[in-house]
Amino acid sequence: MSDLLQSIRPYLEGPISFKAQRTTHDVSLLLLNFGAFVSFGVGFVFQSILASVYTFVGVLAVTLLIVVPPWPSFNGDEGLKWHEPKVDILK
Amino acid sequence: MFSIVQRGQHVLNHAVTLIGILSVFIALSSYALLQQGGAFNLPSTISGVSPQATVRMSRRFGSVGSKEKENNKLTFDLQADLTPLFNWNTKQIFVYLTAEYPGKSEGSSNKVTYWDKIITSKDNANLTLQNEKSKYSVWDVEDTFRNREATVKLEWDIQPYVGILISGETTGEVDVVFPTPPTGEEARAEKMKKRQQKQH
Repeated sequence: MSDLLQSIRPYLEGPISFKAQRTTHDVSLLLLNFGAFVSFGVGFVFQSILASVYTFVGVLAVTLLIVVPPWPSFNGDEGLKWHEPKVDILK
Repeated sequence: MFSIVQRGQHVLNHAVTLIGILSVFIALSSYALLQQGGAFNLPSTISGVSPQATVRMSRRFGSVGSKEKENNKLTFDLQADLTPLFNWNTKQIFVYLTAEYPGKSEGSSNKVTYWDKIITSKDNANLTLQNEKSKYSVWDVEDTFRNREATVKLEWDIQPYVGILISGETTGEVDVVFPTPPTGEEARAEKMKKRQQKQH
């Protein structure tokens, strides 16, 4: 069991590079804030609170999809040379 | 923002914060819409109010120890368009017909509800009632409250999707005097008449 957990752990963790961490942070705030603003507008125009809720849930789903998975572009080369680790902590 | 869990938590946390802020804005905007639509001085016409008094001895009509308790009912006509109370934050409205009259001590006032209705849709918000009977038989703290002048009004509560309950009243009001219940022979004759009507 422990071996199984260890084997899937890298896929669950999904680390991204430190630059991408900043990008995802900014993108998530931007998308969500804008989405809240838009969903208020949509609800007000259509005079329907349900329209507002659906819009916000839609924006939230899109944000989760963009930000959460470790997309390949979040782990690109950042032109930095790292020291070789002295101890492999995963061992 | 390092791992999947961190990113997911961050996004959901911020979303919940925004939902709170959004709710506040929705509540404020709906209040502004109500103000703008003149919801706080809606006209209404209450007419043909005829109160009837009876004497009850049952606990279900406020009597204690089978003492005589004066009860009041009424019939009324009502015309009120409550559609301005509906906007995007209105879940349902509660309309009720009240009578306010001076209480036992100086300067106090009592209020009773004769009739009420829950309206859940804008399409049903235009009320036209003819000869409507009150839903409730009302009584006072005291055993009798005849001959007191009461003001009959139509009031409303808005139950919103988000935000606080908003209350108000329509501008139409009618003054009535609580009648004296029929006594002895009169009451008996009325009862017989009703019984005969039921049989036919």
